[in-house]
Amino acid sequence: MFRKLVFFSFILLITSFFTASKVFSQEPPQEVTKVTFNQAYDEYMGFFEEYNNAHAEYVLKRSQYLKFQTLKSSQDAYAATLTMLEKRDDVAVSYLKVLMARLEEGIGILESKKDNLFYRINEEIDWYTNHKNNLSTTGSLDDLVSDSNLAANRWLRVDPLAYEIMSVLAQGKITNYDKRMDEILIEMKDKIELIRADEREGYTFSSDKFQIIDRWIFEADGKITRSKEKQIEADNMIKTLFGSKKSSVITYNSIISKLTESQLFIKEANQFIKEIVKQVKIEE
Amino acid sequence: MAEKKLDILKEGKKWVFSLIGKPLADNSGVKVKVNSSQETQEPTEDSVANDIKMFKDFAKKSFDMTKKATIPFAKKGASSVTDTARVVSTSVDNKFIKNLVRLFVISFFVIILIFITIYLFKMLGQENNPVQIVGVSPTPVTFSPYKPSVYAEDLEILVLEEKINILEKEIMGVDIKEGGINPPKLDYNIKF
Repeated sequence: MFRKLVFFSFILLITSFFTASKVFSQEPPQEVTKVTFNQAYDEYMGFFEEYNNAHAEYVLKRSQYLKFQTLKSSQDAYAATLTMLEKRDDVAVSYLKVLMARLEEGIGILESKKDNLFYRINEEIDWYTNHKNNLSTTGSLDDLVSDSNLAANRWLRVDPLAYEIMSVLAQGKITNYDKRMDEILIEMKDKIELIRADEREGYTFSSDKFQIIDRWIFEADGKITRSKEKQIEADNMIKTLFGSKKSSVITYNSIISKLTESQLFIKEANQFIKEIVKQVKIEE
Repeated sequence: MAEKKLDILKEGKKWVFSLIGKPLADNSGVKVKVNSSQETQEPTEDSVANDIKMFKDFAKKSFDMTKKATIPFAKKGASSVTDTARVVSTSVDNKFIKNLVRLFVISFFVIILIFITIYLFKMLGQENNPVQIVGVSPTPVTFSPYKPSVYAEDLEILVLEEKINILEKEIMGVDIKEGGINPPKLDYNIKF
């Protein structure tokens, strides 16, 4: 009997190893579905359309109130203005989300810079969301006007932030091209050194050919250096964008022109490296 | 002279009134008798019959006159037709025309023969030199304008070349300026 009991326990122990399943104390974190740029943009365009309609209604009711000055017209004007202000805040929030989605997809941007911009965008989103929620607590047209002025002052921070983000996105593209150009040039230089060191017959070039190749490498280096200088200038301008008295649009356009010059230098360097490849592939 | 004119005028008036059936008022003082209906009908019927008779006479006279005038011309036309027929028949019989027609037919057949011979010669020429049909060869021959070095097929060089080409395409095709995400124009100027 005792032996049977031991044997049965042993069998039970063996089977438990195969049938046991994992048990978690906590549920695994669910994947957060990130909003893509296209989704955010569609939402933004929808809110913008609603705002335009609400604004048209506001303009009508406002003109009626100013003309008749009746209680009914005042109430209608209040309702229309309230709706318009709410829609305006929705547009502001959705636009900030568009910027956030676009920044998420941006290339060549440092993570620290991205995080800093995300933090600032979220700050503005929270402010406008609270502002919209507080609009319903207003009691008169004057309250609405003062709340609107608060949003107007806040928008003076959002406008330069938006252009800063757009500048950073453009800068990221150029940084990406610059990085890839550097890698290509380093690889090419290493390859040329290998060819120079190769003593096998037919596997090395003449000194004249190496001079030509070195000349191309020197020119490519020069173009890349000029490109980096332009990027530094653009970066300095981006830093001064927020808080500058100058119009954000003008500064943004200046940044883009600098980055375009940098792009052209990278393109020229690319052409020079193509010439090097051509020289390497052609027999003397 | 004046009396004659008056008479002519009277006659004309009489005729017009007889046409329209009105009794003529006689200025000479002769009393116009007012007859019965039968008597009034008879003059009107006579005037209509007279008119019809006058018209018939006129038509017959005019027909006769035109007949007399046109008969010589018709005879002349008939004679001219016979004359031309005679001329044509004589020309057909003419040797010159016959020869001309003969020459035309011969030249026509000669031209046809020439075309046939040219076509045959062309066909024969094609048989001797058959036309080479140019098609797509299974292995395309790449045209290399230069003599390649030992590094032309080097893997590292080819990878580098590929990277350069990709980067070039991106630089050429991409617009660094962000389009479509400029800040929206919102109305912040709210006043009452």
